[in-house]
Amino acid sequence: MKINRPVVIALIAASTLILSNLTQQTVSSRDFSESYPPVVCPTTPRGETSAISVPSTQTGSRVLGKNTSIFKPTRTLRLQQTSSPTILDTKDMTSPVWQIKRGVWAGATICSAPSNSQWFVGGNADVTSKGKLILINSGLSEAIVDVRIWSESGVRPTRVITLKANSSLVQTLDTLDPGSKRLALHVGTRSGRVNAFLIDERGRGLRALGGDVVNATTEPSREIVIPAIPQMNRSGRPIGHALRLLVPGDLPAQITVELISKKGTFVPVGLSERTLQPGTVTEVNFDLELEPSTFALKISSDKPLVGSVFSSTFAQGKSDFVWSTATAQMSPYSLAVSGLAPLLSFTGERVSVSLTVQFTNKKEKKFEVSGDGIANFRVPDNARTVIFNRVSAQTYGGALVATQSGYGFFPLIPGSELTRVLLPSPNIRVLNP
Amino acid sequence: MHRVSAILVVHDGATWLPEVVASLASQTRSIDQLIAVDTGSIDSSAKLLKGARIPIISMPRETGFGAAVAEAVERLPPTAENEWLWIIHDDCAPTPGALAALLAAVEDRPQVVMAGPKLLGWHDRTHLLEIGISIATNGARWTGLEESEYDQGQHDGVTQVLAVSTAGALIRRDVFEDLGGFDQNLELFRDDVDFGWRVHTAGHSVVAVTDAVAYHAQASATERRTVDVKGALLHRPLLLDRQNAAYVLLANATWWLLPLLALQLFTSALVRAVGYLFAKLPGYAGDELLAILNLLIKPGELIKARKDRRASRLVSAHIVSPFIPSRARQLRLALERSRAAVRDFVLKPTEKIEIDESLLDLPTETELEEEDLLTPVTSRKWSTVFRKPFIVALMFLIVLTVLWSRNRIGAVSGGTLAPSPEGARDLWNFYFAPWHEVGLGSKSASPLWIPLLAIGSLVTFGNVQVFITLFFVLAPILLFLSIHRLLKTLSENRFLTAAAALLYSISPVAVSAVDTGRFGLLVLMIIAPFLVERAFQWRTIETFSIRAISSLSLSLAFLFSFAPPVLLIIIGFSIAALVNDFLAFRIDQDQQLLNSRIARRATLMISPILLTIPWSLEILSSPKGLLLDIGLLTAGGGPNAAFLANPGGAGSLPWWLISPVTLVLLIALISKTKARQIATFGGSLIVIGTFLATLSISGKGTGAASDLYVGVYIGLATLAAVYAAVVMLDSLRERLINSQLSYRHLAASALVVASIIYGLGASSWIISQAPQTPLQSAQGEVLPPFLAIESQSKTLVIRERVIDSVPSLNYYIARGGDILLGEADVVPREVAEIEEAVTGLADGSGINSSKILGSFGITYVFLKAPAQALLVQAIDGIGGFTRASSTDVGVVWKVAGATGNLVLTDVSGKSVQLKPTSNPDEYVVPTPGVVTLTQSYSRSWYLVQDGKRLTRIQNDLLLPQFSVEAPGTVLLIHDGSVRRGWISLHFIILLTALVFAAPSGRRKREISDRELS
Repeated sequence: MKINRPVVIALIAASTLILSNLTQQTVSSRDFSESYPPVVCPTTPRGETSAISVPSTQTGSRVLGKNTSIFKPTRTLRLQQTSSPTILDTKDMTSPVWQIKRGVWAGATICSAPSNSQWFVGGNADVTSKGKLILINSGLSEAIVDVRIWSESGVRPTRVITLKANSSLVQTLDTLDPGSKRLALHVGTRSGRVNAFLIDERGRGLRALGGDVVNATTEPSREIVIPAIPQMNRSGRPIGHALRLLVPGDLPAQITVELISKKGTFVPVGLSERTLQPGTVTEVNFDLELEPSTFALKISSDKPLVGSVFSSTFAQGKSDFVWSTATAQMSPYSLAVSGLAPLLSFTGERVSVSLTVQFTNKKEKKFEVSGDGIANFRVPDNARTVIFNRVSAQTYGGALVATQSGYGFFPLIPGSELTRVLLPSPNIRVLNP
Repeated sequence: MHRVSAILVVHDGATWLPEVVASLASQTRSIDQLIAVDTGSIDSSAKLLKGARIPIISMPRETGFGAAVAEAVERLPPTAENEWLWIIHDDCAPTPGALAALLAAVEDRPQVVMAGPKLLGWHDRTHLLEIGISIATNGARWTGLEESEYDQGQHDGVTQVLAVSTAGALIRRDVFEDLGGFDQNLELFRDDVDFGWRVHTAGHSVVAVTDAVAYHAQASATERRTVDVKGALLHRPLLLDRQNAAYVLLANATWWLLPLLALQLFTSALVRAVGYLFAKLPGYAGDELLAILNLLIKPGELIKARKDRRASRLVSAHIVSPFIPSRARQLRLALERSRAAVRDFVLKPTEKIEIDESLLDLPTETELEEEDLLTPVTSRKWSTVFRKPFIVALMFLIVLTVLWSRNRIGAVSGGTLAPSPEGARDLWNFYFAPWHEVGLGSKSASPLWIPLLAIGSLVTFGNVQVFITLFFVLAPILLFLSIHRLLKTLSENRFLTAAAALLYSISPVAVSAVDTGRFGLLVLMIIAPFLVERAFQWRTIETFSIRAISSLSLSLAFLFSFAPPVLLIIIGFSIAALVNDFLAFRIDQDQQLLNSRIARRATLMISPILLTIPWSLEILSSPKGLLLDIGLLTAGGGPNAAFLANPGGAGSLPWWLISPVTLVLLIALISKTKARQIATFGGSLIVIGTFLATLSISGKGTGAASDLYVGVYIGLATLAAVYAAVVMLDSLRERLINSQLSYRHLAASALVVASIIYGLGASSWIISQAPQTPLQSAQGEVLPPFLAIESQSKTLVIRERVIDSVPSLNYYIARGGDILLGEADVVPREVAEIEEAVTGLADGSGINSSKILGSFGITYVFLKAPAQALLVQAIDGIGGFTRASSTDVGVVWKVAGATGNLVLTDVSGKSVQLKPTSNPDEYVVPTPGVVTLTQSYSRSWYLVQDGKRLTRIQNDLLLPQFSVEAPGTVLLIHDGSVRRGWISLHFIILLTALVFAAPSGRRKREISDRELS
């Protein structure tokens, strides 16, 4: 028996280890709640109409300012919005808004989740300006917003705006910085669930000069890409563009602009190695001898900057203008397009996008879009949703919509991203430093 | 020319009489007349006296000493000039020259009317008993001598004293008669002091003459014979002595001193009674109290005695003041005696101490004389001290500890250790408090370690923060000293014992305990080595005395209160021992032995529970508490780490720093030495700990489960491993030297190499990682000051925490400050409604969150920075929360609606917060309605209006509600009677155990003559 003792001890030790590992309870303190926050669509200013493409007739919606917080089904795929902003529970789908002043101008944006920081590059506050900044507080508590405005003459003192709970506010641009021709804005939320939208509408006397919804651009970055800039001809001559840039920091920035078109990538004349002064909005006009199509700009800088491109348009016999804004890189998501037939313009070194178009008749079709530098895809008329299944890396996208009222742009980014919220659990250790 | 009449008082003194009579007969100055008084002796005393031809006066057995002397004086011929009475006890033998010396002393001192000899012990005739006597203000007999003082002539001479013992006292007969002799109310004891006092106030004096020597057996005082005098209630000498002492003081002292003396007599009697109770001498304790009571119920005697003394007083009573010891002298003597008692207790020789053989070779006195004392003694260099392994290891550990503690200078917290309150007083308040302001409030009993910590902090003058910091800084050194004390009894090899002790003090569990602030586990590891010897006697528990069982029970209760899992180990160990007892019973069939063992084992299992009630009952009511350490809940490292004797978790050594603990236990299990026995215990603990480490557990205010920390099991297993290693290696060394290369050589080598690698690795890790461990000083505060000052408000604190790179979102209710030491052990249950409301806050769905939080009296929500912007946005968007501030420390929202400690809802359903008046517990109710108290429900909550308790109910949220019928002032009361009752019961049980565990005193009659001398 003596010889067995070490064996018995070894067996006990081994079985202890094996059994304890088999019976160990798995502990996970990762307790998340995943959801897509409801998105907010912009107010419809007086004299305008808004149509929101929703992914399904069962998409939940409610109108801001009402006491109820219950979402009701839209019962339509194209929701005509009243003057008050609409809050949609679109889950993982993104709903674009098509806003028009009938026969005068059109613009597009996407309904988006509240954000603590939004940058807008576009609009003016001179005598031609009829632009507006729309602030929406969809939360049930008071919100405080800091609005910082830059123009060609520098930065203005920050304006603090208080928004009542569950309300919206329309602030005309000419009251924010009277006389300024080139505006860039930052809307920072101190507290509350706030969305901001910018409408750039211009007119001289009774003559309408057009208008557009200026989409929020990306956060200041050393490299920005502005996709889906429409290149048009009028009377056989190309229509010009204006690149508006802001370096919000304290130091001047050296920038290089690359133009990405179907003809290749090149640096336009006059846009190479430019120096931008900080704190002032710079606008660079440029004309391109290109075929009517779309192109993109890639701006590299040694300091963070924001930017957009203003393009005059002429489509279906109507003059208008459109702001193409810098966007974030694309990722797979779904876009509702009911009632719209946008031109999707992708840009990247090697574009390869796999997408599925779902039609109103519940059929669907897959498409592969690819190209070097630029690739476009026209969404069929009776499409309901476009699902971007796979998107190549470093690819940016924008959508262009043309109607009889005008021309519009919206970025191809999700309006609401899946958010993971840690679910709380009681733990007295929070009171222990 | 003097005439001496000797009076010999005899009472059952046959033991000593032959020598006494012989000593009287051999006086160099002969006695002129000798008369004996026999007070009813029942031994051969009368016969002996008759044989010596001494005239005898026979008196009844209950005759007092004073009455016996008075009778003898009465029978003597009329007073002659210069006649002296020489009072002799039957147990007092004067030396031949005693009388001559006494007479010589009084010869040229006409004012002296009483003289007494130097009294030495009967058995040890060098033991100085008395050279005059006095009385202390607490009634104690005062000799001014040290305990068992050796007589070497240090007090020789003729000195004025308050009194001398009646044993051998020479008294001038005329004065004796004038003063009425000895007070016959003092039948025995203290009559001498009383007479001396009266002699002084009559204008005479008393001297002690050391040239006169007498040997005194003190037979009555040392209970060598019964005390049969009439006034001796129940024949108890101590009672009579104390009663007479009080009588002497109260009869002779100045009237205005009487209240103070009475108070001092009563207080000292009470203190002595308590002391006797601890010494398990209830009879003596009763004597002390009865003596005072007996005197108080007979005030007539005292009044008459004072009247008599006033009549014979010729000088001021202040004349005796110089002879009464001052309180300072009394205190000094008491302290010296206490110190001597403690020293004797600590240094008492144990049975194990053997005679040092070298002492037998000591040179004789003659040899010493011949030795050349001028030869210089060879001395060793002081630097050799640093070559001792113990010193080297200790120095290394001190250096390591200094580096280890470099981020722990100041008040420490972190890990399981919450910040400490500043003073011990706060801990006492916490312990006694019936209601704890933690979360929604808790009525849980405070654990016993709270008052123990408060007592411990006396070392740092009550500063708990300093005490705790010092404890954690010194913990490795204490561990080292504690284990080395044990190990040095196992081996003479100091390299081995010092190295083993060092490994114990930097073992994975010790490192983890220090780094995570587990002072309970450290206390266990420091104390446990002291109990190992007892643990080895587990088979023969029947030999444990009641005192041993009691002291062991107290030790186990102490450990249980610091480390609750210890109770499971005690119960498991006891059950295993009981099984062993039953198996032994089947062989020897000794029922009595079995019963004795069962009784003792059951006591050891139950006593830790009883000694820590009511806290232990709360632990037992929720048994998972038996698995958790004290303090905040922190995670362990799972079963694999536990198997390697590393408890794991934050602050623990990485798994790859494998200690030799498990290896030692495995090797010891296959050894043939005593090590196998303890390795079985240690190995079992490792196995149990490994399986328990698979559990995930929540509690102590923590909702999310985490891996169970099994430090207690690993700590004791480490102790077992170190013990086993020393036993093995100590005996193995010789065997390895004398044997061929075998598996033993390999095993021993592996063990040594593993130990060295571990020691170096652990030390490096300790030094390099010290700043990253959870236990640190100056950790700041969670709650911003503007919220902390609102002590009446509840603040919901939400905080994102990252534990082991896993993010989590936690919350808890703050009551005007961060959590403090002990509060995690009394937290109330989690409230599902609050959890639901906070979840709603986090995911943005909580439309009713503000209403629910407000119902629980939560006034603010504080999101501690850094926090997800989404969470801030979610709370902003929910409604019912108004931003109060947003700073670097976090965002604060005020919860909408009226909320506070007391909320009144009137008949229309409108709620208002009731604010306290200048009295923090008093509120004004403006209209009738229902008052909700936003604290946990307890039957001890009362709302009192006009002296009447309002009806209390429990609402849907389980909060106490009171119906107020009329407007007016109400008083909010939490009745702490139940808590006080439990504390009283606990105190009684604890005191009883302490009394049983204290060393037993002996009655004087039980002390041998040799010891008395």
